[in-house]
Amino acid sequence: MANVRSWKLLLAVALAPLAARAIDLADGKLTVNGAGGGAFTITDGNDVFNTELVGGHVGSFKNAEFNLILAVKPSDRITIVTLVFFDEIGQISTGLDWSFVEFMATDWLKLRAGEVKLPLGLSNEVEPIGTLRPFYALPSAVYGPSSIAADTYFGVGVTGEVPLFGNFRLGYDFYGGNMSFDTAEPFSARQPGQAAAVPRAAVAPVKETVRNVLGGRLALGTPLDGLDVRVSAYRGSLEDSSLEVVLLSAAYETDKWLFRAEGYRSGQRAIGQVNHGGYVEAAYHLTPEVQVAVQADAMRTHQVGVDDGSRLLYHRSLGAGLDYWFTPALVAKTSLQYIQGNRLAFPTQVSDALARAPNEAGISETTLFFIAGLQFSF
Amino acid sequence: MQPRKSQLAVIVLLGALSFAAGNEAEPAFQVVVNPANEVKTISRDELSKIFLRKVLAWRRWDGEATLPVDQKEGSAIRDAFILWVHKRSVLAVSHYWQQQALSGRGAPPPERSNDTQVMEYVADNPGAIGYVSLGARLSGVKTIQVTAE
Repeated sequence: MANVRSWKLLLAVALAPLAARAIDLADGKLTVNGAGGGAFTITDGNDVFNTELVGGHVGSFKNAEFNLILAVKPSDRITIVTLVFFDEIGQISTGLDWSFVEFMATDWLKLRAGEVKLPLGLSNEVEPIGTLRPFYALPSAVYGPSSIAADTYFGVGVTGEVPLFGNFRLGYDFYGGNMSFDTAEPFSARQPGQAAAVPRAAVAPVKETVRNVLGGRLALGTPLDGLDVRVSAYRGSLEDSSLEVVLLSAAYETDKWLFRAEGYRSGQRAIGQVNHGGYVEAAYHLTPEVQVAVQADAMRTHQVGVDDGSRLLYHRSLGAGLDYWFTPALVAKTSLQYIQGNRLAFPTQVSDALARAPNEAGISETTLFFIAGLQFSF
Repeated sequence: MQPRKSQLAVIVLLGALSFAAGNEAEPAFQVVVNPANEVKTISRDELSKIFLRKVLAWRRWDGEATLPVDQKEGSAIRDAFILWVHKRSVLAVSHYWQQQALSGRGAPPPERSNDTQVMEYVADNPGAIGYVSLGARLSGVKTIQVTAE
């Protein structure tokens, strides 16, 4: 029944964007936008986690989401923005994702306060908008449960754009506050005593809170339409360590071509953990409707106390996708991903698998991951 | 001192990027404002910033709020306006507004279905600015000259 309910919702909202336009009331005083999608996922064994979907060896339709963004302008310089969501990613949840007030002090300075979408890299702020990317899900090495990409920060920030020389521009964001992100650490079962101490324990993404965060992002705008270069960084405190993240991003997009690449390093010194990750992807429109895409992403963790040769510490994947764009606001996507390593694709009962075969032989090192879905925005 | 190869490469790249300009032909539309508007000319760059909601007040008119109004999405005049004013592709501007709106960074200007409705909106709002086809009979609005830079 839940599957039927999810897909009825999906079909209903998917028909709406054929008009592909935000709902604008009172000449911009209230604007309503939406984005969402639904997907079928299946793997040949391991479970795969991402922010937008989950996949397992039993095929699942339980990957549906709908986001509604309401922007209210009580005056010319003040905007209050809220995102409410309904999703069924493994389980049904509804709620308020973010909500903040923005005051435009000058044309180049805006102040923000509340639960604000985290400005990180190319895609973190637009994660719910599948119509802005060629693959159904964002690359998991950067935007998955890799302990860097929080949805939002709760605090205050400034943002804006200043002109530089020529037609170059510099966009900036600086913020401070608290945030939380999804993290999954299957290698924790390999830390001394863990496998024996927690038999039958499931390893799935959990929320981890980062306090006292200070961070920012700089984005260079160039006269070459479609070229985007960014650097993002933040520092904060986890329960048992500090966390530092630096992420470099570049993208170039024309009507036919799209190239994106991002890479990061994050460190938690007190617990001896360092992560590197990144991806490259390219997409090409054979026709305005048909798009093909390829993607490679990778992640590597070094954790004191865990053998560096463990397959639970690395992730490498190659993916290919085929999309059909009904309109720029409605797209059907399929993709197949070949994953090596178990950093981000592993059996959730990883402790049991290790208890049966401590040398990791009980865990398949490779995973095939298939996704077919529909995404829309308006 | 001779510049290094890497410095030369950077200079060449910056030059190429600066050269990457759009269509310089005359615009296929006329820009209209409310008769009360004191501004006589506007640069293409300023016009672009007003329609991308990066400039919220008229700089040469006591800070009166700018109220851009767009033609219908997909119309030929809107596509021509995007290419000439923003020097960007229609898809790029569409993605810009998707990113802005769905990340809570801003909403696009209201849109009207034809020249008459655009002129009605501009006539009703002192800070409004819109664009209509070259052959449109103006009513309740005045044209404003757009300079290349």
